[in-house]
Amino acid sequence: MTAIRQNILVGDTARDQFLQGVVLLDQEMTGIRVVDLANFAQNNGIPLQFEGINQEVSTYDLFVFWHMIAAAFSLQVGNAAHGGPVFLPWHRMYLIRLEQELQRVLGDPDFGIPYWDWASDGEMAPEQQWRTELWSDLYLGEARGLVRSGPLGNMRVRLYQVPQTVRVTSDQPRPVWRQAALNAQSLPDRIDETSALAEQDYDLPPWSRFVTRGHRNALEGFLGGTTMHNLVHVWVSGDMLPMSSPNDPVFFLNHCNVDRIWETWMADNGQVYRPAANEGPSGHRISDRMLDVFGGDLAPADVLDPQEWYTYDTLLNV
Amino acid sequence: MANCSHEDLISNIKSGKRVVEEAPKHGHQHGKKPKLSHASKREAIYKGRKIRIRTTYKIEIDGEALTVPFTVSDDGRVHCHGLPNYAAISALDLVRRLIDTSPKEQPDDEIAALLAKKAGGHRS
Repeated sequence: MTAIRQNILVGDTARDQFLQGVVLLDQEMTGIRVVDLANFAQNNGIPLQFEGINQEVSTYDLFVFWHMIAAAFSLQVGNAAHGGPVFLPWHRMYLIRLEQELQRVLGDPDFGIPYWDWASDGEMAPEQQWRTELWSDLYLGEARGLVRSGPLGNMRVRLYQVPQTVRVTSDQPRPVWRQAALNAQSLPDRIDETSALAEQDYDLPPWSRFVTRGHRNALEGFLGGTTMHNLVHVWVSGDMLPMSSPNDPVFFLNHCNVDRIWETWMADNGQVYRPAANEGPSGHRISDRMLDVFGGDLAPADVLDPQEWYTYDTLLNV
Repeated sequence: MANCSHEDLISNIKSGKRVVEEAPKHGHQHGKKPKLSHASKREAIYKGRKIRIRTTYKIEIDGEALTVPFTVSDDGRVHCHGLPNYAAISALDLVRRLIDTSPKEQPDDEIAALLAKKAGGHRS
């Protein structure tokens, strides 16, 4: 089956299913406790420290955990999921896995994660951007403060990374927390999007967040300050800031849009990826196995063509 | 991809299965004993001259050393792993954001005791 990923503001069914699905995954307890997560990280040599209460976690929490261990798995350049070429293929794999888990709990093998076309909102005046329908009880709930309304009012955060210590803290379950438009004034806009799409190389030496050109670093958002994907995290703020950012389901809407922009770039430039197998830093090469708690063996080369899993309703007009 | 299931996810994590081929080599220690300083190095060639800048941050909040490393990029912006998406205009700005986003109180720590017990008495 191939899912069709739609704009969340267009597809009401996709929206309702997404909101219902993430809540179901958040309420599906696994029998796994926080001490098991600490042991898993230790057995894999991942230097992530845990503290707090030894509570049982949900399937959704395991995705939060997966993102944190990938980020803690430092490489010569960046980590197993960020700050280098693997950023886009790793998050593509991550979203496919979540999509499959959502398909399971929804009983719908055709379900596709919706995307948030944030550059459209970025065209609005800054004071309007956090007051759109997206931040209402029909969609994602409150833009500021604890999310108590709408379906996501039922989500509970159990694990988060404390920015000041980068320890993983297991605390009494609480609602998702946002501070939209308080740490960044405006979302990325169409000009930012066009600039990222105009980059002719996928990535290039030194392959890091410090590279001054290339589609990956432009889209990840390290070119010229805090931009694109990074800016969306900072704009939403609250739980979207630390490496436990998948705690807020808007994480997946953001990354689905990031993936759609990458797919648009590939439609124009071909399914090209660098570094090749014999160049660049380990962990980012086209044939390097990506960190997957499901135990899969996917490399960037395996996900350049996503048609086996999903397509987009529309790509960007460039 | 099709061969991985929900059951794989649960059993891999519950059993502590090794899913990486080798341990990270260059990692800073997340949440471990604090270092008092963190250096970042910037290098460039300009008109045939080699420039090297080492920047070290020693940061305290209420007299306590900050454990998370700060690095500075070529454009002078400051980064830290605690706020991975944020490129701050100054270290002071970044510390303010860290204070804004970190909880003031931590829960009672059961995990440390359980891990210590495992390390002390149940290591196979």
